[in-house]
Amino acid sequence: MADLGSITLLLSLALAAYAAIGSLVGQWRRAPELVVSARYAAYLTPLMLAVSTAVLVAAFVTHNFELRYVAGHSNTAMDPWLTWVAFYAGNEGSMLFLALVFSGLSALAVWRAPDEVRPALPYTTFVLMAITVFYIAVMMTMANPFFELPVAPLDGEGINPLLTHPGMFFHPPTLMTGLIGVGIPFAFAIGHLMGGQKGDEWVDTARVWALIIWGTLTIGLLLGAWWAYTILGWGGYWAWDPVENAGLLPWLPLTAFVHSIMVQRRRGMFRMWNIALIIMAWGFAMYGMFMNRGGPVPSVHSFGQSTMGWVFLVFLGVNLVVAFGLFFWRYSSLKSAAPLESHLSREAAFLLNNLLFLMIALVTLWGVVYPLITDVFRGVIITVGRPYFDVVAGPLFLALVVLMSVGPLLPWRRASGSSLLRLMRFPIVVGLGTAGASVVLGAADFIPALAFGVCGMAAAGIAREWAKGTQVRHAKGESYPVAFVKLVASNRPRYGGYIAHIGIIMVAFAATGSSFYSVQDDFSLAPGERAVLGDYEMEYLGSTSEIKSDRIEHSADVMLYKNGNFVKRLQPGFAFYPSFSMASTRAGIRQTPIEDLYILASEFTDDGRALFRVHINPLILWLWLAGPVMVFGTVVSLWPERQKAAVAIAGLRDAHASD
Amino acid sequence: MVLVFSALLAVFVIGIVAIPFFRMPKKADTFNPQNAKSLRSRRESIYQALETLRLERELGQVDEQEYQRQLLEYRRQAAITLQQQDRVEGDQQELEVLIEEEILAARARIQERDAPKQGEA
Repeated sequence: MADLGSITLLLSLALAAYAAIGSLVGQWRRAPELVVSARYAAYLTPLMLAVSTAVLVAAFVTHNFELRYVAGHSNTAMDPWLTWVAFYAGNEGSMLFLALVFSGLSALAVWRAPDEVRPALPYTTFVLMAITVFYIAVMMTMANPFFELPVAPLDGEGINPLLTHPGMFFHPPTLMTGLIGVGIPFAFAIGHLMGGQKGDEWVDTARVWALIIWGTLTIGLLLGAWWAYTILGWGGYWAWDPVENAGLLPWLPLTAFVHSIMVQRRRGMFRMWNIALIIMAWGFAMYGMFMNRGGPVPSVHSFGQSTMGWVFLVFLGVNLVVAFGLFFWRYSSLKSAAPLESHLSREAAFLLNNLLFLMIALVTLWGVVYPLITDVFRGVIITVGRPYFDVVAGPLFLALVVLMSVGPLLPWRRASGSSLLRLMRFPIVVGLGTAGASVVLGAADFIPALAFGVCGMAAAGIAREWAKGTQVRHAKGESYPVAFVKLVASNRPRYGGYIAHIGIIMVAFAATGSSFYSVQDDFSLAPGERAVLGDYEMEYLGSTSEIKSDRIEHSADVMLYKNGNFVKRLQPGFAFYPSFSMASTRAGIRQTPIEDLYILASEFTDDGRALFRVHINPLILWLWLAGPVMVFGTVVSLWPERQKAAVAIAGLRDAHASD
Repeated sequence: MVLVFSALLAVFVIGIVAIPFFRMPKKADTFNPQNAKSLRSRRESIYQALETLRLERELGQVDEQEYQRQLLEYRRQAAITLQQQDRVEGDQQELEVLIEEEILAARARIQERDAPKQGEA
């Protein structure tokens, strides 16, 4: 069966290469048959990779340890539900997953391409398939999942214990899809440049794909934070780890892009800027791949044994040189169709938003590469940790949230200072009220009170928009619920964006609470002893140990009380995997909208004592709730709008006639 | 077994990829910014801009003077687009009428040509 996997990999490589070359040659030689044939090859590529994937998954299910990859990432003791996780748990499988997802998205993008982008579609297909060729070729030569061992072992090594978590079903696939998916809007941008189109034909299609990928990447990052929070056992969710940062880096210019592309869509402005942003986003995504696969900084998130980092670095370099080369070649055709009419306009707010996102990206990048630079030039590795990122990125994120409160209140083209001040009155009052309330509730420090105030101001700005819009519709005879729904439906990109903004405000709210007001303490308790932290009291009842085929599971039995009242029974513990010399933690968490009580049981001694680390982490729940809100906002933004011109056109004709 | 299946797969793939060389699909990858579809799309985006402008006025984001200025500009753009659209769609309708007339004339010629033969029979 493994042979079938290898053959379909080879077929997919041949198809992708043919699709790339055929598209380009067919376009140059004006041979539409060749272009269409190449397109069919692009459709078939993911089918062949799907067969390869099915073969690999079948090898895991049947414990085919002849395959080195299967033997290295599973064993007979592995729970069957982990088969899907094992598929992409290692370098080889994740490369296959990336190739499958990217070729599938590419085929969909080419198949569903609207008429506007069709003249440049062969170039776009070339870019998409060239990227696919790279992934398949690297996989086949450096990380082949179908490599067969000369002698099959009786049992495999098993799956990495840190991956035995429900979050692993979704975090790696969404994050990898988000990273590689940036290549889709990138390909439309490069196709546009190669095709020499002079207008904004690529914008709508790239916007749709960028939003889909943005939503996926956002969910991937949040799921990663959830996974880290529940299994890594340090009580936090974001450590500014180099590979975490590598996932965040493309998200920043991509977020800037989904904002500024609206300006190009609406006004034909920021043409160069948008192309530059999507190139940067793709560059950062490739940088993430480099960091993940043999990059210079080890991380809990990376494939440590991989040595293919340099290949990704070269690929990143080639991509940037070619993309920026095309950018400068077509420079003259990328001039804005309209000037910026006022610095007090929605366009200007989008530009400022873009600059802030880029500044965050640059300071994050600097924090990631600085240890490498000191290592190369001074021979010492200086670790750049959380204090640096908190100091430099924190205020920039706060400035973005401030901008989120002003931006929605600004009209396109031009606003007057007096009208903006009038519109800002309500958000400012709410912001001051929120800051005051947070001080009353115990946020004594200036910075967190300011951050809570800014969150309140941004939420009030959006709420004002919704309330006023609903009121206007209600005045025309619609009931309030109908008026609200119709308001959102009347301009989905705008109001879907506001819903996503609510999600971002929730993230800022949770990050402020958990960053400034988390407390922790360590306790060594014998059975029957109690410990107190804040309003909580925990009673350690005893521990249990269970020997399983591949691990030893230890768990503590803890009764939790708050202000003297029983609230929950928790079983924090960990599982030790002897073959990996590694433990995976299971935190005991009592979660409420106000705070998490988070208990780790890190050690059990022979005399029955247990060592606990207890955290009180405020507002964490809002971080997890933000994910679905942002996805919902993205879906609303993307939902196709009904063509309304037929209704409007009569009005326009009348208006024209009356002029 | 695997080799036979793989060979069949390869034949299937080559067959699909070769189809366009024998039977080219009708849809061509052309896009003319002056065609009816793109003009409709432009008209739609002007309409959306007008809708947003109206909403911004209702929300108190733009004052009356700015609203009137932008409204006038969008109306001018809409009028130009409508004129172009009328011309293109008019041309298309004219072309369709011409084709229809040609078909009718051709049919009539065929009928005239065949009529004596039928009479002879």
